[in-house]
Amino acid sequence: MAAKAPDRRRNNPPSHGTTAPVFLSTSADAPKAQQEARPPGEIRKIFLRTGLIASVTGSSFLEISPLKLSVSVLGPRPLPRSSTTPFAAQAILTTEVKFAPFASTVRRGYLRDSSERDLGSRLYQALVGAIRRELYPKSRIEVVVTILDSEDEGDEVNTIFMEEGKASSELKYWDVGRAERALGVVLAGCITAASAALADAGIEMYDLVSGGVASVFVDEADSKGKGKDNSVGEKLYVRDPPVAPPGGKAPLATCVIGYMAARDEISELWISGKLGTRNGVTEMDELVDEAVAAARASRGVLNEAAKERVKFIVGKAQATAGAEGKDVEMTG
Amino acid sequence: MTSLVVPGQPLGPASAYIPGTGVHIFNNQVIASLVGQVVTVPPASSSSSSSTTSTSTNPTISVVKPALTPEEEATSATLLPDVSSIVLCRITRINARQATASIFVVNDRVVGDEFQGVIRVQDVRLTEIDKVKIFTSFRPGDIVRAKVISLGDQSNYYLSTASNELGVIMANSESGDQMYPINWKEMKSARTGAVEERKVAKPF
Repeated sequence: MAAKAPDRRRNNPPSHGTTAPVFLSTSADAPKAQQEARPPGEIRKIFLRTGLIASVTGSSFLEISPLKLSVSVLGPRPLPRSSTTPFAAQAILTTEVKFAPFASTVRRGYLRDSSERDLGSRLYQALVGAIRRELYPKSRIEVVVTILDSEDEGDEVNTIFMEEGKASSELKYWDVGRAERALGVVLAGCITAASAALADAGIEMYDLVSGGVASVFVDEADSKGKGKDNSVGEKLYVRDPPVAPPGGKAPLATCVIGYMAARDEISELWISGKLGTRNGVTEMDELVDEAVAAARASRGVLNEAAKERVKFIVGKAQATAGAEGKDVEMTG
Repeated sequence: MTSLVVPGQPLGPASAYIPGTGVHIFNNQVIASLVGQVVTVPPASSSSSSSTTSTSTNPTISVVKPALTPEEEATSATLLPDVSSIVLCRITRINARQATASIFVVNDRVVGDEFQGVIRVQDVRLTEIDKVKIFTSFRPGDIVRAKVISLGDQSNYYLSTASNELGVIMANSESGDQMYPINWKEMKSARTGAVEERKVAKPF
């Protein structure tokens, strides 16, 4: 008789059977994240390029090992027609930060979680004052950041650390501010890369905003025996800090800033951790100064990346002009 | 010769230049607000050699982002319609009060995203505006040259064709073939010879 009618209600396996795939083990050869030896005042090397995505107005890609992220800038585009938003005399900026599911050490979901929303609003704050929004009425500018790799450990871990860090001192010292350091490096990278993408898009700005992050550490012994007089020993300020604290040191606080170097203005400031109340003012000032120094250091990279496309066009124009000049010489 | 600048870079004292495009003034300094090349244009009238102290003799300084190709130069993703811009638009809907249009060219440059505009019945022509009928002025699909008279409400730019040079520049007849203008208010089909009413733009 004829073959049995195929079962269309279920997902059928292939008729010829399958073989389970065999993967070569790479875990033994996988390079370990080495503890790089760099002075505390030096930031990691930054790789920043612009104009990689053709379908958007402006884009950039940033890499500060192991952080990788790409930024797309869309617009200025018309406001959605059916929206209830009233007439907007200035451009409406929207920022969105999304971790790829594989970007953290703990896998993330596809929906935006609370730390992504938090980073998005901080990025908005860092950029909104720098854009000349009055030049773009009735329009919106969208900044979309996709993080492809980071030292971050996922939203659940962040929430636990952040809440417990504030609630109790039972937490092990090396975990304090761990999430803040990871997210701080991410946010600083987002700010720098987003400015480069906005410049690439040709959107007018008062100044480029560069991100900087710094942490302050004390000797472990000091942190344990910290008295009520807040007299702690020598503090160690680290710019662009790694997630793991330096050996024998306990973290106190982390500061992230968005900094407009040409105007000497801070557009975004995020400090978390413990800074003593009595010496608090000077401690905080010192930490902010360190973060500003880190932001100044990344500004140089940002300037070059922002110029990249224009430089290419000018170079090409000069090359063709030179070729034409040669032609004239030959004919003449 | 022309230097590249980034946003925030000072270009010179505000007293020595007239700010052009792509720059702003902060702390009495002309500051770049775009990435691009600095272009300094000397004052147009060189005859006023006597009044050297006047501000009109200052050169205009602006920052221009160069384009790679002519096609790229003709489009601009960051361009928005402004009051008194001349736009090209395609009529999408009409009713007795207004014609709705989709703007795709602003000041001879193709925009990234199309903007919606409306031509209200009182803005169609300059004279006898109470006798204007939208149905005898525009049809959906017509290409119209118009002027922006207002940024309008949240969704529409307000356009006007109240000038000889403004109005329908391309239109198809009811049977679908292209028409040519025969006078300021009529167009004729090249194939069938049928005459339809339009608010015709004066050809240059």
